Amino acid sequence: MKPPPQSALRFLRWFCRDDYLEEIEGNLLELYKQQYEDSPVKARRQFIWNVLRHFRPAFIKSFSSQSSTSSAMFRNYFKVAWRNALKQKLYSLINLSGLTIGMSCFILIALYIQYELSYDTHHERADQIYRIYQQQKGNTFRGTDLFSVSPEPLAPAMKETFPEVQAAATISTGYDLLSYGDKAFSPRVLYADENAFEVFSIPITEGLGAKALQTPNAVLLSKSLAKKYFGDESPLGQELILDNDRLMTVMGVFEDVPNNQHVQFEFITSLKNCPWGDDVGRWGRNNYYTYVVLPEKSDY
Amino acid sequence: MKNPSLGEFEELVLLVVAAQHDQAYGVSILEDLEEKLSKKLNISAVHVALKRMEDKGFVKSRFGGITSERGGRRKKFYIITAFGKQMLDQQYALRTSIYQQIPKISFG
Repeated sequence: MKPPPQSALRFLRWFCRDDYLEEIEGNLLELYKQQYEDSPVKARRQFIWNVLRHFRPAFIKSFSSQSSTSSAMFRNYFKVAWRNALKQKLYSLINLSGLTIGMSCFILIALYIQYELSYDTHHERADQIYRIYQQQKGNTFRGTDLFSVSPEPLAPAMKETFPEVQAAATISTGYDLLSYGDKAFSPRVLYADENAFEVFSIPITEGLGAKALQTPNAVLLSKSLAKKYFGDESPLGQELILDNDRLMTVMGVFEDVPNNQHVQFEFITSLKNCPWGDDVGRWGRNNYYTYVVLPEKSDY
Repeated sequence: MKNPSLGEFEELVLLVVAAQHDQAYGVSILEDLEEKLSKKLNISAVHVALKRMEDKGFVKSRFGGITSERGGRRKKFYIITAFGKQMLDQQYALRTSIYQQIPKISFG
């Protein structure tokens, strides 16, 4: 036999006076059992109805007096707990420190997970950005034959061929030597084509954005990197030397990249400046990452 | 309460409690009444009547043993008190005496 509806039973137990509860519950159960043999559905309906019919002042417990007695009860609990804690100092210490460590772990894990889940969510079209991967059958590396690399001509070809591709960008990353006088650093770099600004949200604070990437001898610096090279001087129009041999002009400054972004960089320059820049336009070289923006709610 | 009153439905329940002497409990009272009155009643009405009459002192209650068909809940048996019986007697006497005053003519 199926038990009577538990929600109705819980409701009854919640409102009913304790000194009447056993009798009422027993009678309701007995009736339920009798009716169940005829029709289980009807028995359930009748049980709920019977519970509701008991919801009347004669059977409802007095909640106001209950709350004052229970607060006295809880005050007593705390008092007794405190006295016991003082009496058993070692065990209290062990118990409390265990509880503290456990709670701290919970909070730290929660914060960590929240941070992990926040990755790459700050882009305007974060839920529409996809990275192209390719499968290299037989080439299993660290348990997978899927690689996020692709050739450079893929992005323009996709944009041209598939109307649903709203934007497509090719990027590459690394570290590159950038010097200004005797100040030489090797910051993280984003080699990008100008479409990168369509795909990712990179807030420009000074100068140019995407337009700067149309010429190969331009760089965009992050706010903090600009400060590192030029201090309080305006970075716009300053000239830096890339890889000891190419003269670059600072065309723009962008807001520092947040830490919860999977691509980290401190300056941006044209894709052609990357060490494998010769592979631009070649289908046979998987030196790049391709990102596309698809329409909202597409299930690709 | 100086002069506790006995309502119509309460009187019926009290009669059943008295008739089922010492074996009367919620469900048995309900079934008996439903049969005699030939209509459906809700168990809550019986419960209310029993509680009121217990407060007024017409019935006493005791818990019975644990039975399986009630999922471990004890039955609460009701028994009529001397005061309750007196109340019933009074009601009965009152009704009978008035009834006997009805002239013996045919109605309708």
